[in-house]
Amino acid sequence: MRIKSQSIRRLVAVGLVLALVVIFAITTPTFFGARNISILLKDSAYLGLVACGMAFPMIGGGIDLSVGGIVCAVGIISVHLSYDFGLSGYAIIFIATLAGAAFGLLNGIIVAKVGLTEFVATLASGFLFLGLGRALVFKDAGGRAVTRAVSSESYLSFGKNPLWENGWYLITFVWIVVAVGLYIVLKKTKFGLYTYAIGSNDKAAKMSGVDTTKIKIIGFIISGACAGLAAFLVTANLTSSPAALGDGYEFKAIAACVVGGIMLGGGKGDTINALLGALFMTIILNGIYKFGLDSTFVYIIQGLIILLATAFDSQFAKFAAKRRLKEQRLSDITPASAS
Amino acid sequence: MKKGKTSRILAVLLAVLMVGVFGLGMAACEKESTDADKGATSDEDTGITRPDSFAGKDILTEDTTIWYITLSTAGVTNRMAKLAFDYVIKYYPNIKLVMQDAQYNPEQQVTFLNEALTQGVDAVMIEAMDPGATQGPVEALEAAGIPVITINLNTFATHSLHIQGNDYYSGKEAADVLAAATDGKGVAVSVDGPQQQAETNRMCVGFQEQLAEKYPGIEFKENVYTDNWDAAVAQTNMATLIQKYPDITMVYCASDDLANGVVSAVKAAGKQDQIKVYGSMGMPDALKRIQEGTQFGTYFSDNYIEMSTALYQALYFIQNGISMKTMNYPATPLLDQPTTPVTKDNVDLIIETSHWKEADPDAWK
Amino acid sequence: MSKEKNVIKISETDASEPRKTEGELLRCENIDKLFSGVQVLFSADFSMNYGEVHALMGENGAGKSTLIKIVTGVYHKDGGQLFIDGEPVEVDSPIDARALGIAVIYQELSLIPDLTVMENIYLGQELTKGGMRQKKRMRGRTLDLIKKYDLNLNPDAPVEVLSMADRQMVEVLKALSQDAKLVIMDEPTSSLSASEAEHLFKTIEGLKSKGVGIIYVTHRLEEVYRIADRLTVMRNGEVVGTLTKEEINPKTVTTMMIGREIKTERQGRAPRNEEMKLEVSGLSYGDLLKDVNFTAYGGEILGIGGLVGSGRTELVHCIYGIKKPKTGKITLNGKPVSRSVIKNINDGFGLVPEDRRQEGFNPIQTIEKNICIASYDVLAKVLGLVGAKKERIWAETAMEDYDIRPRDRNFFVENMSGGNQQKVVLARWLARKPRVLILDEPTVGVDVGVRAELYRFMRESAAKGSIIIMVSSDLFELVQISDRILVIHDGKFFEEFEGDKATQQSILLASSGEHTEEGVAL
Repeated sequence: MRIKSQSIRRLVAVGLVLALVVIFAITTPTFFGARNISILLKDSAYLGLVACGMAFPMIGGGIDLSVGGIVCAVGIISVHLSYDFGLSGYAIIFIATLAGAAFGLLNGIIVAKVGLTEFVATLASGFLFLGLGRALVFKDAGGRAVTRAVSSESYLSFGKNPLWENGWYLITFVWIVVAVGLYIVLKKTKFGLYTYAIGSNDKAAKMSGVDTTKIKIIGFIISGACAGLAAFLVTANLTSSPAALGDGYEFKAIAACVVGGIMLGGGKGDTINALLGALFMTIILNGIYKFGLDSTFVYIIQGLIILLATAFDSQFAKFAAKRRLKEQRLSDITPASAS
Repeated sequence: MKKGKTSRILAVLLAVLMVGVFGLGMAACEKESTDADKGATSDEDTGITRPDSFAGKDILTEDTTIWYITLSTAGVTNRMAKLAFDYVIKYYPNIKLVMQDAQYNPEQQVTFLNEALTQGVDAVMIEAMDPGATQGPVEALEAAGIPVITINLNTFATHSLHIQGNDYYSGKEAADVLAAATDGKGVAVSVDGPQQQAETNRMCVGFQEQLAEKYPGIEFKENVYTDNWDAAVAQTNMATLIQKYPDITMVYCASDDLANGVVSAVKAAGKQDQIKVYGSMGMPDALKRIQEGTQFGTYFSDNYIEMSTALYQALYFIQNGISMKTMNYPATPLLDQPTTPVTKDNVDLIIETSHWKEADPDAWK
Repeated sequence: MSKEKNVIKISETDASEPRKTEGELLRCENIDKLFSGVQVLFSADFSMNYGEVHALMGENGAGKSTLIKIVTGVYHKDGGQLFIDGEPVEVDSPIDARALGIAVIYQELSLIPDLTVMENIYLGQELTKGGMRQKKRMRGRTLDLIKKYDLNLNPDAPVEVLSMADRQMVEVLKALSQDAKLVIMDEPTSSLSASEAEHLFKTIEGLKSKGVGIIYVTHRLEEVYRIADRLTVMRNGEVVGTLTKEEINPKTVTTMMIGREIKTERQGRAPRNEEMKLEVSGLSYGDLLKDVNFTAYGGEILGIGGLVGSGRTELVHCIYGIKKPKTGKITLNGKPVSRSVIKNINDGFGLVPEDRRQEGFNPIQTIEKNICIASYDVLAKVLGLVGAKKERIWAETAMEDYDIRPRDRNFFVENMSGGNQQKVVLARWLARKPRVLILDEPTVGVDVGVRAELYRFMRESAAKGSIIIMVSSDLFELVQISDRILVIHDGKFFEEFEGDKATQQSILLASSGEHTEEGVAL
């Protein structure tokens, strides 16, 4: 019996999530409450959505550092649309997703057509989007920033209250649907398979007739759209859009992807890995708070998790390489069963 | 093909296990919460009346947890807060006070507020960074009978108490003091905190409005915002202002940290004699600058008293079961702190009588 | 690096000290080398003098690089003796070799582009005083060297602005600054243009006149005429012989390199399908290809020969659409061929690239995905959704047809042997039943058994009417498999051979620009 190494990595991620749940359930009295679980799933959802989008550029061998800026800009745009124009939440959720996609398209064009490296291009565009968001912040007559709360029922139905008492939030379901939908896109469509191909070997994919430019641009569009959707949902939960919205989302999302098993460098992982990674990161924070530790520990523990995850991945790669050698020897010796 | 199947089956099994575990937990807790509801007082009275004494908790004998959610745990004001808290709770061995650092992130504050409800703490004190974002969670806490006390930065939610150093009026007061010192003539600017806190931080507004209203001889030029209350940013901002308006004679700063940066910029431009810098809060290093003469003045709002008052109120609320659930206030009760203008004349007295020497012993060596 | 520092000292007086410039510099006697029991060098003898340019030639696998690596201490010899200046020496490591004054200029240059010429030369062995770099002294030393060897280099120029030839010059200078007396150059002109190569030859002459000995490894006969004093030819791990300048002529050299030609039974060719034809006319690309004209027909395997770096790969890349030719017309059955790879693939083109690992397959993906990647235009349906069953059948059929082992579609390609990896890349195209299949060095790193299978698949595909174009440096393969062979020389097709007439020697001669009896001059 032989299990694919990717499946092993998936099982490890699921196992870690379960282990954490069990540990916190035993050691803290409040972790395993319906309310806590539903809030935990809600909190993972924003990060998870951004991470699921981020999975595309990452699997394609790149990175998208602009998602924090996209969340900030789209968040404030969404609140404006509701507050100033009175649009329904159902319309805004589409507009927000499209706006995010448009920002992603801009990233894609900078990277693929202008030829900047992804790191630099999205770092720069991230600042641009952040600046756009800050510029759009609500102001009073004297030019001072103010907070405007969203009051639209349809808008708030996405995030303010759970669907049933102490139950799950709509955000969580949106997240799961998106993650599964994008999983299907990755695994079952031409575009998804090409994404793996360019992440695995850009040149070979090009030689095989893959339009690498187009695939990269679509990857950024998906990443941007997910960030836009997440931005809408965050503001629906907060009922407003603080100027600091989206701060550090890009790195949290990358961390979630890495912990979940999507490798920097590309070609491996999928949105379910991102989903698990986001869940893992949120559970561990949620659990830490239960212990009443100083919140500075949060950074230390986040750092340790990422270190451990990447260390595991590199050790695992060594193990896989050993297994590979054995397999290769076997494959050369054993004749094919059919001939 | 066999290998694919085994791993798939394993993954499905684990997923089912996960969902099952979550489901079980939820079922268990549904029950738990109804139990809790039964225990709570079903007070039908909606008027603002004082409930029966000790409808709440005996904080002397029962374990009690209070959270203080700050913008940042760095800085001397938090040491002062800790000093004040320690003073208040020294007679209550069962009280646990936890300071949570929101790192200037409103989302983090929301997380902490949710977490406070999950853990069922007894009271929450918070500097609410974003009034909109904190509204929902604060309402949820109050509805569950957990009193929330906002300190200096308010939230949109109606809650048990807002306590503040008198921000708006202290700005007006600053204008008065500066006008008195300059015979009502000159050119003024103001250095404000972060833009997103301008709504709850109305010191600079008070300053500007008082100038416009009472002192036509003082020309107000511009108000600038400073991210994260950062002194270095304030310094850059002030340097720009000096270049733009070389004839500035007075600056009002929304905090003494900002005043620190502004004083450096003024020094660098060599305009110490021309520009009077006025700060806010009366922080130790500002008091020292006033002693030295590099800063003209500040207002002193006793942080120690503000913090101990907040905590005393929290204890009172817990003891008596006071929250929106029982009181149903039509608007948040407000507690304003008096402020004292500080200039070279009274600075020594302020230093002697405040608690800064205890909170920040290093500053006075 | 730190170890090297201890051994190599920059000579304080290298510009003025009189050095030995005559007599025997290096002698190798009866050098044997075995790799895991297989003998690859058989009692090789080689010797050279100060101030001599000694060329070393041989087909791939003849043992040239093994011999060089023994001299430079990369490999340990299993028998024989090395002598330097007539003294027996042991070269156990590259550090020993450098200490003995032996330096190698590799094809991949080891210079740091951001640093200046001087800084590169003294990199890792800076002259210092009290921890400070003595820039003036290093600069003066560098200038002395440049003057001594009459090189046209500015010590303060950053390396990134230099041409490839100048960079090689810097490498040489670096070797000389460490007191090298023997400089080994391995195919130094492969990345140079003609004028740059000429520049290099002048420098080599300059070094020679100063008494430096140079071993010059090359494939190019014309370079040997141009600069070599003597030529040693190797074949199958043996030194076939050493020729003096006067004795060097193409016929002799190629005979020595090829040895006795074994003609084996050729596989029967399918009749040429004149209706399927790929025409290329007036194609030029960069400085490499000047005016390429040819027609390939369905049913035949067209071999393309020529030296490495002669532009063969660029030619097929232009046809495939990956590279854009400067001028020229490419048509398939009269219809112009697109400049887009994707359109060409839809039109029935396929390419098995030269560098399998870099351009051929996706290592961390499965066999199935690697086979299917070029065929999602067929496999994907509405919304780009790919039918899993369709994909599986497509992959399994191809694996069956082309006997890919292991017969497990979920096996990762990086875990496979070279031959099977190549089968996967080939199957990717053959499964599409291509009209034009281009193979660039298809059998590099592929063992003999799999080779025969690859040839069979190519032949079968041709028999179905496809145009097969095979670029190869393996002369035996070229002669055995091709129905027709075109040889590139100097940016053009130089000679054309009918498959049954071609010999390895004639192709080698044509590659070097010598007309032969067997071929037809173009």
